[in-house]
Amino acid sequence: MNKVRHVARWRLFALVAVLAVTLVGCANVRRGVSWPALELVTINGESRVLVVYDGQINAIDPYFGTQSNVEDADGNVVREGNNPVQWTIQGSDLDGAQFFVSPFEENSTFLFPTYNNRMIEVDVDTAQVANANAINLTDGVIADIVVTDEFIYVPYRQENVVALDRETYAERWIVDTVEGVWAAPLLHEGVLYVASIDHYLYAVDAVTGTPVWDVPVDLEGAIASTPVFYEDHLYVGSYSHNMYKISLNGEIVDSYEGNNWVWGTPVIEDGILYYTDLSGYVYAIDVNDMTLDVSWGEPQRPANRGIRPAPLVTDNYVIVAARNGTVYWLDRATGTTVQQAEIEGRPELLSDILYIPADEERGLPELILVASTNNKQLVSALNMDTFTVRWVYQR
Amino acid sequence: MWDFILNPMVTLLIFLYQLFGNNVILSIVVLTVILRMLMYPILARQQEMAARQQEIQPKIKKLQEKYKDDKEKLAQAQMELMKEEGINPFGGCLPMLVQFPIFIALYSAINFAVASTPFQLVDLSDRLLIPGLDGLIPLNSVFLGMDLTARPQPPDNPMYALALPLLVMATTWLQFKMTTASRKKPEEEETKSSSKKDKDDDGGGQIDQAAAMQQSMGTVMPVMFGFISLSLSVGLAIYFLTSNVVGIIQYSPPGKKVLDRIFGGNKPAPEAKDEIVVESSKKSGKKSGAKGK
Repeated sequence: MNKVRHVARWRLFALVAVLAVTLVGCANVRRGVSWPALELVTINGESRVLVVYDGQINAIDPYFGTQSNVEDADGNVVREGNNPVQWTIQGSDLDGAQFFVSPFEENSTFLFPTYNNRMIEVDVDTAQVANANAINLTDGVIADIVVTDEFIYVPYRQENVVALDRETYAERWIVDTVEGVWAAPLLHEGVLYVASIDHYLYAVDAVTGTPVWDVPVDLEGAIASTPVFYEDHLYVGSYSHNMYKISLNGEIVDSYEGNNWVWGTPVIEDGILYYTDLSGYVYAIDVNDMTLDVSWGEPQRPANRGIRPAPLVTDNYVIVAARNGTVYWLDRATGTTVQQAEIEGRPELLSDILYIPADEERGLPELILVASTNNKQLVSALNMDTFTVRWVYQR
Repeated sequence: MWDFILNPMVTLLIFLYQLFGNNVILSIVVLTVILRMLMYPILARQQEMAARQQEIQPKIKKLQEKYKDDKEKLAQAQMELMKEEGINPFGGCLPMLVQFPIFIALYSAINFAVASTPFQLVDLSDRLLIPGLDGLIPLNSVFLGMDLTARPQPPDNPMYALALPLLVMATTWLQFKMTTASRKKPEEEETKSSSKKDKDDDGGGQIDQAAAMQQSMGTVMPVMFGFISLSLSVGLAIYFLTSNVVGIIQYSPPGKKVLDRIFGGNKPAPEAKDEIVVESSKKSGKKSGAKGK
């Protein structure tokens, strides 16, 4: 009898374990914080791209996608034994730190805010962490910081923007928001504009933190992108499907209603505002009257899935990267899709596109870099002349 | 394919959030209650099948004694008996299979709705089927200082969040006890008699196994749900807790009475017959049928 029970119990445990694994596996759940940030920097006099994502920061060659090594002052690769020392920051060496935003650079030091309530100073040339525990924050960071001579403005994931003293890192004042700040604040003529996912756009004096507007502007939906200043007005989109034109005294002057949430920061060139939404539409709006640009006729929908990043606008193209793993080149004059390139495996492309100018001396082409959260296609470089993938960087 | 079930559930959850004054806990509780009520007829059928299977255990035992040397015939006779008694052998499993995708969809819906990071939230925009719900995003995902999207354990949540998996375990156990309470007495008698029989022969083995399985379930299920609650999110633990509490109310005698009245009640099991006749055995011309007494 006991033996029978014993066997039955183990069988049941096995069944339950399989069920539990299936259950968790079947469930359509997205785990993760944010997407990679790409930043073009100069390390030891060479152009490098910093890939800032999750538990690692890597410096890679922008034209070949290879991991960069640390070099000494004479340009020789630093070695540990026979192995070259790579330009890499490991979060696991820093109590599991996670990184999602571009650094601020000053005096050969990168300042990296982390998701784990700290800011880390890293030597630009040697990748040595100079100051792992000195700058403590009260929350995680998933949007770029803004730095002036006097302050470091840090947007927090859950609520508030804090102004830290540039010298001491002490907290001087805060912009009190109800929810998190997921976009870098905009600093313009002494005013700090803060867009929060609590639906409000705040304006405060950048020195004292005193509100500039009587009340923050309600944009009827979460705001996850940085406002853009253009000819006396601010332009910013929200989850309410609208792109807003706001005066500097805090009034909504005009708006344009699209089809879905606006997440990417708009780009304004020659009086035309280009932006994307999470239904896969690309819009070209005349900023004067906030109507569709007549030459485009109607919003274009190159992708069947959403477009999160801001568009990249060049002389000839409006380039967008979509959640279906495809990059589209739209004719800037007409909005028609003229080229497209699919990234292998079709990973969600959520990071902002990084433009890499051609290196004419070395005969290297003009590139754009797109990034996903899939480590096998973490960064892909596309040739702007051939519209094909030049290299893929994976971890 | 999942979107077909998931998107309406996400939409309903956020609609309820709006309806109940932006209270995400209340919306999870109400949605769970709604789904439990909708699934009650299926659950009741499952219970009914389980009860009727219990009722025919004496007959199955007799068949086991009769065909102890011929497993094929035993299986055939058991199938005949179940057919005769109107019992679907899969009647206990199918309702579970129906509940499974609903459970996963609800779990996913909770996770999507209370998304708290950009990576999670970017996927929510395509899932809202009612216009105007966008303005509610992001949902307030903090309840009593606990982040509903995070695991109920430090450092993701305060220490007191660990009470949730414990409560889930306790209520799962209690619910299990309540669902098996009605069958407990005959089962005990059966176990006693088969234990005695074990000394003589192997006939009661399957019954012993079933009893052992059931007893094990009472231990395994609370541990499993406690572990899942601990490993996933506070929101999901609240769903489990609500579901269990609703189950306890449903299986309590007054609750069951009310629900049976609403949903038409369970049909009484057919009266047990003493005589067991295996038709197929008759047809084969071999040693036929069996008289129970």
